[in-house]
Amino acid sequence: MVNGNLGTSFYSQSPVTDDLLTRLPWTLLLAGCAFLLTMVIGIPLGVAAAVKRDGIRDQILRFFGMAGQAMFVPSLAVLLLAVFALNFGWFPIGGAVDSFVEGPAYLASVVSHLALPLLTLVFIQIGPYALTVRTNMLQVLGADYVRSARARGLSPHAVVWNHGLRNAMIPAVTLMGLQLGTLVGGAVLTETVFAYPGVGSMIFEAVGRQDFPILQGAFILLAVTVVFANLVTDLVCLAIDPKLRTGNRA
Amino acid sequence: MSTTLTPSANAAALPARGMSPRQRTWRRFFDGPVGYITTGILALFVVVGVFGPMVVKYPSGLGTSILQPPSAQNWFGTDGLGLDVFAEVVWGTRMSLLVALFAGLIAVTIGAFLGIAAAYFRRLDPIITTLTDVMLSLPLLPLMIVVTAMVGPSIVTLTLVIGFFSWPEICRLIRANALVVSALPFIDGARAIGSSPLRIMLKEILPMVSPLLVVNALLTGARAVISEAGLSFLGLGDPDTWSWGRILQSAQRDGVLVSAWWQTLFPSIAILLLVLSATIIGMRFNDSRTASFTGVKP
Repeated sequence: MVNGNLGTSFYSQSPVTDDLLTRLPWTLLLAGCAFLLTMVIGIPLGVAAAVKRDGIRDQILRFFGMAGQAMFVPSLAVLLLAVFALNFGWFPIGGAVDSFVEGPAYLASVVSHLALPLLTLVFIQIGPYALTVRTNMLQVLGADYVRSARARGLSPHAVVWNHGLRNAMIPAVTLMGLQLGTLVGGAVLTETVFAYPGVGSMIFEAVGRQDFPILQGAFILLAVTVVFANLVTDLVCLAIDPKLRTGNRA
Repeated sequence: MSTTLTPSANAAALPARGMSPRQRTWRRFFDGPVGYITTGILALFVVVGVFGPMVVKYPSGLGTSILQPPSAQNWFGTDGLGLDVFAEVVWGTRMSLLVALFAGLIAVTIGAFLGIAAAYFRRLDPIITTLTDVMLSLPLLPLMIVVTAMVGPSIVTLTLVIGFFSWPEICRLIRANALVVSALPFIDGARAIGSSPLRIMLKEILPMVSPLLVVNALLTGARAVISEAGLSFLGLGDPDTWSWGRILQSAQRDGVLVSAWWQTLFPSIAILLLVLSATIIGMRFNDSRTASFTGVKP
């Protein structure tokens, strides 16, 4: 196991590591995009809600926070599938890429197949995430240095985005690392509904075939990926937070 | 939205004289329609779960009319084997509630015990905290899948697996609160008169953190419903009992998740309603009992 040998699949009779590694890029693409998109949209959303507390944006955000936590991933996935893929026909109903396409068409095909699974994952993640950003931002905006920045006559824009967000960012990035486990769990269910050929749908297939080596290998692979991604988020925190850089060595 | 989720301002203005804190909490909780609606929905699910299976026949075997949309005869339509989806949802309610109840109990018991132990015994603290952090950062659903698949799917397995993997969040919260409590003077007092550590943990610290446990039992139960549905959806449910996740799974297996929408919609609504109302009740109860709550937003 230490050598990366996870045994042989009962079903395909090929090494588990090979089977999983052919699937892993798709899961990395899906979960990675969902991870980045949640942060890129979630942070400004949380900030906007915190700045005008109890405003309309704040209330919409709270609604989404609640809905995201209570929604069962496959239900949401099927809803999106029914509306956007079958009713409007904007997106393909499953898979990750069309056969026999090359060049720019290949890329377009990948993007259009990615859209709905990605939307599902982001919808589930974004509400709770942006709510936490909002809470952090509220704390930061109440801090002394924000008050003194205001007193020095800085524009509200500069206060919020330069002084507030910079400090609210750090817990926001750490939190995203902690949400990774949930994200991966959501990816397993999403991939199953959309027949997206990642590790998640492989888990689903392996459950049906009682293929234990695959299940075990998939868990180990996902756990290692999550731990590694956590390490990366910690390093990012180190880069954006000067306090962490000196604090431990003192 | 916010004013409807949390008790409104006039709750604090109610005559507070002559009321015990407990009465005051419930008065605040039932101020406004949200408290009644969410409690009503939860009560409805409990009634359906307890009495429904006595009225509705267990859906099994094969029916003649397959994949029929909702009608007067089959309120929620029929599935790919010709079984009544309404009956499946009713039987699934019992199953989901049972799993939520017992998995919640297991998780709360483990979480509370470890949390209080970590707060009271300083030497255990680093070990328990590290264990909690490791559990929290692992992808839980794949872990549950592996364990359930190895042990063999059944209700008992599902309940135990969900319960044993849901405690870390409770543990962390209880530890934080128990740390505050165990620094209070009366804990030193209890130690001075020779109470055993177990007695202090169970009789002194536990009652102080128990309101939090109630809230978290509800939230954990709600999450357990989602976990159970997720595992059943992936084909790891008990093949002998109906659950909401298994209805979705049978639709997925037949490839009719979208076309036979009634098979997807009704269990999904059931999950959403149950989880949403349990979550709101938990949060509202928490807000209602906060002593510092004055009705003015923080």
